Amino acid sequence: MKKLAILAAAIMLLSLVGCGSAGEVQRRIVVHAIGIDAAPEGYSVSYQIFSGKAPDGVAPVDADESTVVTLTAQGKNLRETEESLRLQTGKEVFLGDAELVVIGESVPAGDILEFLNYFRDSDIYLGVSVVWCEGSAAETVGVKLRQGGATAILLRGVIDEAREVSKALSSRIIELTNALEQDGETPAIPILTLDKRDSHGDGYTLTDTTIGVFGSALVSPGGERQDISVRAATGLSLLRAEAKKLTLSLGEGEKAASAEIDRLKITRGLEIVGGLPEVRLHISGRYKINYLPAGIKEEEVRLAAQREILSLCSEAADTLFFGDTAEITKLVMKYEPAYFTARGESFSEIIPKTAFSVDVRLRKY
Amino acid sequence: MSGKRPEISPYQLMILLLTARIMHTMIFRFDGFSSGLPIMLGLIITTAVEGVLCLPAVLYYSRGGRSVTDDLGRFSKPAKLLYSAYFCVIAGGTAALFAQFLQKEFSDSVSPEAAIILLGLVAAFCASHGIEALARASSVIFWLFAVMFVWMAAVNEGRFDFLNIRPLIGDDVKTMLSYALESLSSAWWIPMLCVLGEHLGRGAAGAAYGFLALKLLIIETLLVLITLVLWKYIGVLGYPIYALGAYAKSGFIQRFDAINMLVWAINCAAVFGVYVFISSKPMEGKKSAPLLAAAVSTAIALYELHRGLRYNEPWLLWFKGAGIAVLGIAFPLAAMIRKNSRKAEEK
Repeated sequence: MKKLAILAAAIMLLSLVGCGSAGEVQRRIVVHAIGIDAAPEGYSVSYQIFSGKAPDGVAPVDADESTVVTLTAQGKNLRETEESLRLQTGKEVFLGDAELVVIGESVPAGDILEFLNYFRDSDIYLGVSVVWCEGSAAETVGVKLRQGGATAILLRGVIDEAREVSKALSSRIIELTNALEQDGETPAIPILTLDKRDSHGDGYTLTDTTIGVFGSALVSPGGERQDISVRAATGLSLLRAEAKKLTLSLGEGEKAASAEIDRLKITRGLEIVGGLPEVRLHISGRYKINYLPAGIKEEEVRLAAQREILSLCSEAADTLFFGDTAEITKLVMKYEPAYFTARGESFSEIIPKTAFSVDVRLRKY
Repeated sequence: MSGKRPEISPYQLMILLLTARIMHTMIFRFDGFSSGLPIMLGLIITTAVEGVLCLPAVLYYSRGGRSVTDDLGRFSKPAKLLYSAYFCVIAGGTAALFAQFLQKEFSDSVSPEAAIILLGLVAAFCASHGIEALARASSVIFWLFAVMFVWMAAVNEGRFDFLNIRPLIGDDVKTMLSYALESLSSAWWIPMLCVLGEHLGRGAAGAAYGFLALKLLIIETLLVLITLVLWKYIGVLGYPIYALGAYAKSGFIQRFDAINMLVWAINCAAVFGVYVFISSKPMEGKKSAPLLAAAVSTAIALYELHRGLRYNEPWLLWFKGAGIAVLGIAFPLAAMIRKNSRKAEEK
């Protein structure tokens, strides 16, 4: 039996795949962000990678410059670009530390499923966010800000912050895969935008670049893309009961008040009205006034905030809502199961006729 | 084992049964499966029925029975062979489904055939150390699994969606009963109890009902997680416990995949080892017995892998069900009747 044990141990030692593919850190490229652009033959992928040295070999100017560089590889698909990067550098590509996937404007929306399939089989964490960007992904992934390069953590922070205040919806790899492949839904993917502004001084011009989320793109399983405003995306996060916090600007110009709403509680119900489903949303939360212009009463701000929430929901409903087939089906099955059973297969025709009503109640901090 | 000291405690027997059940859940593929209230209720029904079905085995051992097969008189040897064959098939199926999982999720880096052969060798090695060693190892593995399970559930990044809990409708009764029946066919812990009970002193009832209570708790918790949190992700990844780890992240552990896989692999080896141990019992005392039993199980696993075994194949459900009826209910019942009649004759 000892011989058997030694044999088993030897086989395990030789065949343990985790150890087999292990490599020293110097022999690996640790990817932090992936930017995908369309190229004449396939894709041009920009990999923001960890680097111990500044790209030009000189001493780094600041902390950011010293830790990331962006390398680009081309190929017919992502597998080929990864292989190309490996051949360019002679190092194994490691995606397990990636924070973000950015897709450039030039990439057709229908290609996203191919990317998701590739990532699902790779070593990337399935909770990594996928975002679109205005312009090229290479520029977004490799953008230089005044304080240095925009690291993947910084870019992810921008997305997380937009999500925090309900300006963007969650768009992680696993969520998008599920929405597009399993449920046939239309997910909203945030669009990262580089906002460049030149300021002219005495004989010099400074370009100030800021990064933000100023919209989202709806992608259908059929590969159609429809861009929506931040307002519509916010409304969508309310209708899908994902919103937790809102920052609202109420009014215009100097008379505009600013309010913050948190502890949002969104409950969804459904009733059958006139033979058709009507989704009923009850939104409650507490508000804090950040800025109150002179001559405006607090109560007016509260009412304006409630109206604004209704308006956001309405804007989202006009834009999409009924792409959420699975959500509507679940609501009907939960609240009106008999109605669902009676309709049978014809239920899918009823979904686009679904109406909704929203009731908002805000209380002070 | 008459006259010998008990080799395992009721707690250890419970753990052996639990790790085998956990393995069965780990390799469960979600294809076309729907979770929710009907399934949760179905599990409660199954557990209640299992509580009744295990009574012959529990009563046999609680009333001083030493070995179900030994008390079957002239049927002792065929009975031992039947238990052996049954668990060879169960072991082969388990290893084949585990290899299918590896093939699906790690297609680039794992040869499923090599994984099965390796598992067979490890299982033979484990089984050769006896049930006491297997029980001790399984105890460690169980707690490792329990900690991982709670940890992964706590840091899972999925969102709660209470819309997935909906009232029962007419069709749900059919779903519930169908799940209860399927789940019942996975109750081969009862034949296991019949075989392993002979290594136990007292406490068969505690082991059996402790197992049922913990099984209910673990699987119901998993079903709640699937229904409320993981609903959307299991369809993509296929395996519930794998999905639990694939979408979990904490400050201390950034990726749970590797640790999750480690627990799967060692649990599979230990459970395979227990099946091999049971299968080798007709040749008890021979040094090569575990190796032979492992070889047969491995051959079955390779055949099933090649054939493309599915988790809930109808013939398999019938096979498992028949095994439970004959080996888990009829045999201990017959052993108990025979023992009682012998006692009466002696008096």
